[in-house]
Amino acid sequence: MGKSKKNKAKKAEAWCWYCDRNFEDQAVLIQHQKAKHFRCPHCPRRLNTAGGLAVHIDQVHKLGTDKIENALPGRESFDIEIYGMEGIPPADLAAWRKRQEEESGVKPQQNAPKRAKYANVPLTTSEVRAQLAAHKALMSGKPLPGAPSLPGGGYGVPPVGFGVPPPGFANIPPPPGFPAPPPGFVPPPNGMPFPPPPFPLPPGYALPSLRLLPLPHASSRHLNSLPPSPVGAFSPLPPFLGAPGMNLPPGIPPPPFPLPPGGFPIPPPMPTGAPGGPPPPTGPAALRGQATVIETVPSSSVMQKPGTLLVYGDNNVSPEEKRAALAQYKVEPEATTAGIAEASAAAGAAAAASVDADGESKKRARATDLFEG
Amino acid sequence: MATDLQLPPYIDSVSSLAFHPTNPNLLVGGSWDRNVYLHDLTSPSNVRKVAVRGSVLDVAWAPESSTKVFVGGLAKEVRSVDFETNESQLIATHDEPVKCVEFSSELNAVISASWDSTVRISPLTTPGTSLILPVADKVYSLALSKSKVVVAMGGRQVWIYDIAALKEALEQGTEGKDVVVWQKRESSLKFMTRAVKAMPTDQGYTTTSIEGRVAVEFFDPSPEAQAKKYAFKCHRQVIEGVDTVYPVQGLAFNPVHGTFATGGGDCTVSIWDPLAKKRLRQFPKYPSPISALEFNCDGTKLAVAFSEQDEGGVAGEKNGNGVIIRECGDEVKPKAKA
Repeated sequence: MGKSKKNKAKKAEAWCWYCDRNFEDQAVLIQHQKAKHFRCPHCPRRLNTAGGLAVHIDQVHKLGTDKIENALPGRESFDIEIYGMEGIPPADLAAWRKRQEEESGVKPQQNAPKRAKYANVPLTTSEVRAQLAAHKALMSGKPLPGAPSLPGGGYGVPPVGFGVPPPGFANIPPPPGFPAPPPGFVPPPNGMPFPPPPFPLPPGYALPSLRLLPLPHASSRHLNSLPPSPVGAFSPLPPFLGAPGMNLPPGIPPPPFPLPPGGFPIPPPMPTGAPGGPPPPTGPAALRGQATVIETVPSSSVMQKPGTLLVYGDNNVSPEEKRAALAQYKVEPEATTAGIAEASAAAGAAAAASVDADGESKKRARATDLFEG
Repeated sequence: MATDLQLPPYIDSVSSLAFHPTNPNLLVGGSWDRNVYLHDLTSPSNVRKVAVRGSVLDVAWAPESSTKVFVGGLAKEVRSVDFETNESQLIATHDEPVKCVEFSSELNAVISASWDSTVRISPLTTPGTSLILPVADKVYSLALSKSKVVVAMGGRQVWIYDIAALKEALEQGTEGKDVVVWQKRESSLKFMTRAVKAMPTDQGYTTTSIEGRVAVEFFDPSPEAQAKKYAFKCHRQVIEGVDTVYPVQGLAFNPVHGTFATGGGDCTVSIWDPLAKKRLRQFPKYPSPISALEFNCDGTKLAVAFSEQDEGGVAGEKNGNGVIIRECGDEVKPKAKA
């Protein structure tokens, strides 16, 4: 048990420059590099170095070299000769060493071992300074603004004299319209002037879009003067305001997917007659503009025997037959062109309808805003 | 470094490709998006397309034309389509979608095969009439050589017709059910046949299956010739300790060198020498599973069609549909015997 812990805490001995992965020792690293980075794409041959691979590709396959496989962007060059840990650019090696130290320096604190472990390497001046500052702060018993608060020290424990913002925070009373922070709520120590409003927003309150901004609305002004906050529901706001014709429904967090350039109306929870939130069109459907939902053939992959996966496992029906049965490939009966024209006209009408609904909801949002203001 | 030419991307999967029989730069592609595309490789950005009814499953060039092709697919019919005049003509109808379309210059007829378990031979001289050959099962692939028609069906069955016999049957007006099948075989692969192609030498054919395997077989029924047939595994990968077996969908013979290319769901293409039983080259990964392969008439270019909807993809990686033209050099020539 003790042994395994030791191993875990042990600093990684070897590191792959190409893909930024740590290894137990040099031998494993070299195995990895041969398998992942110095493998010839054209034959099963594995080489020891990038240079060796380049020569091999040039002489055996009479081809030029492109880039090292599986490497991080910017580290795909054949020009650097690396074997294990040898040949790594000194700057990168130093950066990795530093990172290793930081990790081994942070971990013990989280795991709360008996004695803090410090890397046995000289520190840089900036590190020394940071450590000194941290030490001072620790001694004075105050959280350090700007520095990451120590685990167990900052968040959970309310400071003495609760209700008054702790020192180091701007002494601004909560703006009108915002309730005072509820008990147990401690502002995050990142120099924010006041806490973000509790989410979700009150019902009927639509986040203002840019065009609605001049409306005299206390919280809207404050919302937009807020610095980027760490609250998840808050930060994606600016790009949304920028989207043309975008209406955020009350209380709905922004969708995680990127919006199509045209502006995709998110259906508000109230019934507007708009389609109930179809998935964003992707690929062929978006281009064809006809089918709204793309069906795909469910995977038929089967485990043939332990350790062998058959990607297409249906021995009686071909992939094409399954695909032909999907809705989007249904063949219109004769009189082809008329059918297609009708379909596209219908699609156009539907689009127009959804635009109408969108406009209506916009109006409604504006109305509620005025009412609130 | 061999240069790759990427043709403009396709909207939906590419089901089939066909190079022009004499012009090495004319390529036609059929797609599930119900269009047929004509590419002139001398000006790759200039693509002509013609819409048809129903997704396209196979295309074939019409004789002595550089604008007219035969198209078959989910519309259960074979049509000729002319890119120049936009004219379309019905060649044959089937009861189920048409999986394969070929043109035989020996018969001067379009050969079409369908999931309705028939092969229909429609002579161009007498439009509207077809010789209907009933076969054992749904046809999944069909290959044409100078003297034979190889029909690969469901149930791992392979029937071989002799073109001379078919010609006689056409001339004498024999009924389809009376036409003698030259050979009835069972595939030497244990799983469903995906593709079949005949050797340009007319000695035999290769088949591929859904289970990462390729078989090389010979027409000659003599025991000596049959002893030469073999099969091998390919298009497999060990992913996290699991041996992942991909279907082999693309198959094409180089008409000049007699080597062949296979393309699988693992997004790779390999070149094989069927006589030396050797792999000559494996090309690096393509963006999506390979759906079709075709060599041009002088064997200098290999068209690789990849489609993201196809079965396969490594670690779910599928990046669009399209066709990449690869210039082929020595890698498609059999190695000189030492």
